[in-house]
Amino acid sequence: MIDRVSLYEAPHVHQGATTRRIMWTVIATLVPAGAWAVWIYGWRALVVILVSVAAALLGELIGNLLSRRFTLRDGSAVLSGLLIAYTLPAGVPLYVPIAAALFAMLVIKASFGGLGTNWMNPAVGGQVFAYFSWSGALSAWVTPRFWPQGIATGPPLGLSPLEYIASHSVDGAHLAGKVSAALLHSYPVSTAAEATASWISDSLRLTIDPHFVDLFFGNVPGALGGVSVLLLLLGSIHLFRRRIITWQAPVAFLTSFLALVWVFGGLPANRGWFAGAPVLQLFSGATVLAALYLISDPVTTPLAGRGMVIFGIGTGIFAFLIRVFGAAGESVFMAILLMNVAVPAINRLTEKRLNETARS
Amino acid sequence: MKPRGHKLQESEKDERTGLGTGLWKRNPIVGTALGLCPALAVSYRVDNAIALGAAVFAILLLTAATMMPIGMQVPLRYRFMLQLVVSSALAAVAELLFQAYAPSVASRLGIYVPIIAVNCLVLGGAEHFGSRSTWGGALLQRLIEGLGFFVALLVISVVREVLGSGTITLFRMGTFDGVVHVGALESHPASLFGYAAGALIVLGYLQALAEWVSRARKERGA
Amino acid sequence: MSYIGIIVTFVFVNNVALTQLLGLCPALGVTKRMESTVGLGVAVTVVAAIASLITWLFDHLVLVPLGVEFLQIIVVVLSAAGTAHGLEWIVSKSSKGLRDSIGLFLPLVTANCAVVGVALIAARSGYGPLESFVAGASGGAGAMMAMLLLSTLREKMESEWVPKALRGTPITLITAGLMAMAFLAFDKAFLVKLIG
Repeated sequence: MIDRVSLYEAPHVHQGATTRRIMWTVIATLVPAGAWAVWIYGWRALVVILVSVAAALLGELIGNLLSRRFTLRDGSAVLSGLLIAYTLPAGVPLYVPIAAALFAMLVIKASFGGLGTNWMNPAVGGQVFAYFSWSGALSAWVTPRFWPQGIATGPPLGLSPLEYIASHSVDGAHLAGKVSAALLHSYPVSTAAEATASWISDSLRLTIDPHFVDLFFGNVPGALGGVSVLLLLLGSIHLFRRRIITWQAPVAFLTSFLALVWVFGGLPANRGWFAGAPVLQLFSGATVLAALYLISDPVTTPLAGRGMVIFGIGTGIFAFLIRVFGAAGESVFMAILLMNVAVPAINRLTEKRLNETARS
Repeated sequence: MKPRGHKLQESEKDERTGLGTGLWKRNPIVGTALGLCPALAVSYRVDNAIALGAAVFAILLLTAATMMPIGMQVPLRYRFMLQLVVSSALAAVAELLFQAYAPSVASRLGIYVPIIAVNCLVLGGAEHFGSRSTWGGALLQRLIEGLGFFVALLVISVVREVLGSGTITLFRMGTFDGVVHVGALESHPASLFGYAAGALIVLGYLQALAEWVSRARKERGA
Repeated sequence: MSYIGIIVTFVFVNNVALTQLLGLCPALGVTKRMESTVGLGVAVTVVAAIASLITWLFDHLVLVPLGVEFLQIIVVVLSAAGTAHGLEWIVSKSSKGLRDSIGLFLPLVTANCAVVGVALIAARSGYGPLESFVAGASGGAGAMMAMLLLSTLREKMESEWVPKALRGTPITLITAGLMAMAFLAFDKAFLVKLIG
């Protein structure tokens, strides 16, 4: 069996590690976030994860049979399956991750020839396929463990933060803008978060709303792998140190996205300029998961550093537009897909630069 | 009849296999999706596909039948324009007929009925203005192409509607309300296939399937 | 609808090629070379804009007063073909550069689904003359954008790794389909919220 380095378009970039080692390292850094999800949402979360991974492996197997390559052991299918599960809620009907994973492996990946040949991010594409096919099922949020007792899972409470805000605004006008204190107050918050917030205000003299504590640690209804901002950040540190992911795309994405939210976010609700809520947007809707793990897929993103920056900025712009004017939660995913389409064009624009630096 | 052992030329093979080849080779699924793209847009329901497919079939035949005797009288330069006029007139008539006798179908098909006027398949027959003796064969060829188109559109619409809505919507007949429900899929259909995006993907795979089958056949035959 | 609304609708929300599935036929074949794609795209855009305007004129000056709206498709097709021929004639008398860049593609646009489709939609949406022109141009531009994006993905579609049965048209269709799926992000709700 050939150990295959990711198949980039020429020129080929040499990497120190094999594809397999990279994949499994990434998977390892994602485990904490998944474990957290299982802890706060219950065993159903684990079932979703396992089903998704299994379906991805099955899809990859079938794809292998068709393309006569054997890549099951390189971890890419497991990673895609994991990422798909991480973008879904814990209560999602199981046919959703199965279909999403199969679509991702067979249509998006295997049809183009397997690992390294696809232009669309398989996990993100699978998730968006699921969204447009079964959008209702994707709101099956589960109440997190540390919420106050007696909170129901169905509407109106038990909605994800973004959904809650959207449901209380006129045409989603508040979505990116500063949330009113009253609205914030009416959303459940855990006692642990309140305790933490008061500790911070006592010892660090910093007043933060306890809801943000919940959001940061991941104690809200949300996507399995997207809620725990803390654990995702910690996991990614290792990836950055090993240079498995580069800083350009995530930083470009987050900067442009948050800046746009901050500057323009309040406009639709007539709150004026610079009235957006960037921190809220950062901590919800799997933004962090996308920024650290989805945007940095080496196969479907530009080669050069410059290209990565363009890619990140484009994703940020689209994510902002779609989150404010379109489908809130999945906006980042759709933004990534739109930029995937533009990647070859971006590569061509930044190509000259790459050749020059390679020669020097 | 050619003596045995004589190597058949490709064109002779076509004559021999006539109907089979026409339905298979010239079929838009195996061929280049000729003229299918606009029709795809309405293929999210089977009854739409049947209606549009029938319309394309009729217009295809009538355009060919009209152009054959007239075509030769007209200088080459104007032949295409004349064909456009004929196909547009027929499309206008088709739209009127739909609006008069099947208004609900007409409103669903919208602009896709008049667009038959510039359908690649309908307009693609300009080369068949041979001598009178070949008209019959040429017309038969067009008929087969039209049938192929109809079948292709039907297959696509069945796949799309079953996956996308869990139903197969046919026309009302007596007590049958026209809708065939496909069990489990109807409660959780994969709505993506109801969109244009799904249509393109379905067509892509159906073409690949047809290609694969024809390759397998060739290998077996050769 | 405002002009911005028209542009956003025809280019993103109801992209002529990716949502209405018009104008894909040439796109599937011509996307081999970037220059050809641009040339074809510009030709489609220009002809669509002019044809939409001409259709509006005929619609309001001839068809409606005479009560013969059912002849609309004939008018649309002939104005599209006429525009294409007229432009061809004009271009043939002008610079070689213009001839090479657009002139080659005008004959292809004579009976193009995208042009006819956009003109029809514009005519049936109750736009005014300038709005029809803008709609036609936007529709054509949307088709061109789809074609260009598709052509940049050509390498991925022609790679030797693509399974044999999928090579050629099938994988192109699937690629277009995946692109269309990405564009689903822009839907009616998006437009309404954006324009307000």
